[in-house]
Amino acid sequence: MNIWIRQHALASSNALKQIISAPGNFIFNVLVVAVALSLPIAGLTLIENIRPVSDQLSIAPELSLFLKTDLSRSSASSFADTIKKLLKSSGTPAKVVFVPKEAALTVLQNSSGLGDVLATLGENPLPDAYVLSFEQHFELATQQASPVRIEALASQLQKLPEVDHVQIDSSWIKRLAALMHLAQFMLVALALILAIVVITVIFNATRLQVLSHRAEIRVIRLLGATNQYIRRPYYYAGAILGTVAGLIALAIVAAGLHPLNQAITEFASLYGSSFQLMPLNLLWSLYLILAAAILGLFGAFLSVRHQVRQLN
Amino acid sequence: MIEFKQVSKHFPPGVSALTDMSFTIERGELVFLAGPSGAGKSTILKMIAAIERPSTGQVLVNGQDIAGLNSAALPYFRRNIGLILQDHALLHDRTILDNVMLPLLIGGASRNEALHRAGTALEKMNLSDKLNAFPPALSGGEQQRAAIARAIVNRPQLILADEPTAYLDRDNAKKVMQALQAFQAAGVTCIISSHDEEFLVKASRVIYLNQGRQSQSWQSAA
Repeated sequence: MNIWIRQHALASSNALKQIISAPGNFIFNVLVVAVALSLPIAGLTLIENIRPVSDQLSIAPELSLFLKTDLSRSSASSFADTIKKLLKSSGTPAKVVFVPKEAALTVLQNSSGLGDVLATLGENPLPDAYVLSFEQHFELATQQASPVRIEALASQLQKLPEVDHVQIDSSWIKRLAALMHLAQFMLVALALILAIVVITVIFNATRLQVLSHRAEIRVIRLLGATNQYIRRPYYYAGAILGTVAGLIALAIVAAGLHPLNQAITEFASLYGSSFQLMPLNLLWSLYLILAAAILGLFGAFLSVRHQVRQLN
Repeated sequence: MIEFKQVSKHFPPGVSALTDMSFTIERGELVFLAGPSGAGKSTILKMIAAIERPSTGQVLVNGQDIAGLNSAALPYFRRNIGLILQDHALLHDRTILDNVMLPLLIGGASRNEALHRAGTALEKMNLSDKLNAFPPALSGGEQQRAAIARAIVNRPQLILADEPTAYLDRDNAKKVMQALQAFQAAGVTCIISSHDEEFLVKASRVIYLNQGRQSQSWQSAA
């Protein structure tokens, strides 16, 4: 056991000596790998920032029912009974709230910042509306499907002559979920492609290292070095390269968030939000550094096995 | 201890380095391999160290047929051999001390033990004042003595020296030969290839080679 530990300590120290003896090559390779790693890390940072927001979205599915604009107020008000009958017959309990067009205009004027523009219109362009809030919750995190019944009800309501337009307000969450899934899939694909790039870069860097140490390998072979003894320093060098590149990639992404956040702050403030992109947490960072080290080790492993076999 | 049984070695395309070579070298002998360049001296040393394998015949070292050594066993076999090459084969980016420590570290010795034993070996070779020098800063004789220190630091049972005095002046050549004779006196088997007639008389045996064949053999009466 002591010998095993000593051999690994010696290999890691030899790897560091190799790196120090050719710092230019090491820095260049680290930067190439770091840039390659920073792309998926940036994507992951974005998804991890959006995920908490989207995961917390848990709303009661709502139907917004916009009535025709020429419908009288009394007809609009009495239309609530028609809606309640339909709800009862379809077995879909819901809270029905009438939103008069005047109230809708007031909300729009106060929340959109378009008060002045709306004032110039002269008359209210908005229709009277109903909002139907269903008791059954649609949760993005659990991916429960929106009840088919709600969609059937929506299409029934759409056919009524008083109704101009029916909108299922939870559908945008579905689209967001689908978008998140697509982004995650693309991130995994990008990460796989860039992992191959990283392995290739480290494979080549290690190949050049082995070739430049051919004479040394020949000598230590004659002195009784095993293949493992010869290969080990290169494994360590690959893992060190991956680790340092991983750290730099995280730093690049963290540094890139600052100018991005300035733009996001400005944009989010328009919606009364203080949303900002945060760097990945410590656990994620450790996972990524470990993954980078493993990629480095794997690239070096493939290269050294091939090269040392050729030197035999 | 070392036995060549009808050994031939051919290199493509059709070059015969050794032809039907048979001899035995006992433990503790100091044997010179003599002959002109291309006679096959280095090939014999390389075969004993399992750097080359025979095309036909058998090379036995301590009863072990070198043809049967696989890549896993080969490093451990070589750790029992002190190899001194004509070009010294020192690593130029490491100090003399680091070079001499190398066989010990490869064998799994601790750094302290390696430091101590390498220091002692270099002291025996009168190189105590060159521990931290790099090989290019040393004379040819000093480099050769450093190579000998590296060969003996593992206390091998067998030393193989390929033209150890080839590029040395008389004084340095004598020092190197004296060192090798001292190891033989301590019971180490030494096989040395050399052109140098002056040193052949000090051998317990000389195997003369010519064009890959054993032309004659001379053995000391002692």
